[in-house]
Amino acid sequence: MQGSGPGERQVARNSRAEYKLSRAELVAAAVEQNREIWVRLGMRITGNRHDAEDAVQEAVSRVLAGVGDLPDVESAGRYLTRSVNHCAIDRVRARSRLTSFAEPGEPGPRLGSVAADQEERLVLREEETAEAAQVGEMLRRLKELPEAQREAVELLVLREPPLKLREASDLTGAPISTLHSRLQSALGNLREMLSENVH
Amino acid sequence: MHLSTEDLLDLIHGDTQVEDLDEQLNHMDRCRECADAYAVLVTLQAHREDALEALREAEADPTPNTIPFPTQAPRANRGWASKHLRLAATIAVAALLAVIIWTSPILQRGELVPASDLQAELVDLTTDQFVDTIGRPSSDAVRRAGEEQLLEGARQALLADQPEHVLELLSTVPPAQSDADYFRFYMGVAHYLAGQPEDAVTVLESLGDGSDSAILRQACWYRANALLRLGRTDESLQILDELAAPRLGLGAENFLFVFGSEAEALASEVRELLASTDAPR
Repeated sequence: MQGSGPGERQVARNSRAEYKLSRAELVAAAVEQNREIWVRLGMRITGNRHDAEDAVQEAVSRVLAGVGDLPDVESAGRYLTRSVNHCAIDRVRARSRLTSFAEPGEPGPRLGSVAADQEERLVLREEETAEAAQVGEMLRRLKELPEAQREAVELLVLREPPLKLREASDLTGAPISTLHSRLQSALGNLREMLSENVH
Repeated sequence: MHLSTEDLLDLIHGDTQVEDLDEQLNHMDRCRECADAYAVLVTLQAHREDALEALREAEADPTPNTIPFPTQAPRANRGWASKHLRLAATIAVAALLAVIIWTSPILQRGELVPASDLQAELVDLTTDQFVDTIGRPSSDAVRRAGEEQLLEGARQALLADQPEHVLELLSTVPPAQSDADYFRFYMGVAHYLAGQPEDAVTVLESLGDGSDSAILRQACWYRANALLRLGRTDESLQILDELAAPRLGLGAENFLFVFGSEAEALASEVRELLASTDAPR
């Protein structure tokens, strides 16, 4: 590059190093404060600690590799909370894909957690198969919801990016309280199926 | 107190503040209802593409709503345990429907509830066979079966977000004694959803303390919302505060179940609005 001598390049390298170090320090501080909470969030989403810890690790890596300004530890914490959430959901999604493609009767592979022995893997396989059946049933029930409830689910939950209640209210013309009721009813109907399967 | 809809949506989208996360996770450790609701959201998010595809399919090929009515209170109270009585009721439904179809212009336009499986089973059953089997239904059985059919039709229309149809449907038959509360409840909710808050308040107010507890709290929720629309904030806040108070016995078995926290959230939203605008109550 013309006009950029060795001294200037050295300055640029130093700036980048300082920037990365600063980002890494902020992330490290946020992790130290909140790691256990994020692992609990991951467990709530994935259903097991191993996947939850992997999700937190992956989220930290993503945030460290990211670009953009992280002004303080709180911002890093917010960023990481969202990232842990996404990574954990990604793991649930990946797990179900692996289950779908596994041969019948064979234990499905699990990201980041190779089971200790065959028996344990078979148990995991059974759980994943049950999970896949539950997902299929939930999607069937989703199709049977009344149109207004389906719309609430699509706008508030599935749309990328999802709408806030007020935005959805502006878009549909339905009052916020009505959207509340519709989403609650939809979740209630889908949740019933979960309860039926569990009990 | 349960997690609000906003809490659950923030959680699933990763927008929860870290400082609130611990408390909400603790709540879900204790509360099966919220944990299950969150599990549903996680499943939907994890299978987002499949869920969107399911919604597209549903839109392209609408099928009749087959969701069961969670509130079983009216049926449980009737004591129709006898098999013969049940059969009598189903026959009576068919008989009443025949009369209504014969006389009602609405039904002749084909706008009412689709025939249920139950009615389809009755098509081949002749009157003689019926009499041989169980005898003729009493007029009371006919009336009650008709009520049940109408209530089910109203419920389906509400679930399908067709409040005007509920009003049309229920206006064809005057409320009967045994299910008057349910008629009024559906009518009141339909008025509210149809943008007629004044009528909603009038009808829902008529549900007294002696009404079925399964609908009373829901009726109060809609009445509070209708009052808000009418600008009667003091009355609305009083109801919302009562709903927000902890109370046992409200669960997912109710139809449009309302969490106490929803009422509390709405009440505080209204108060904040009043404080910020200094609007006259």
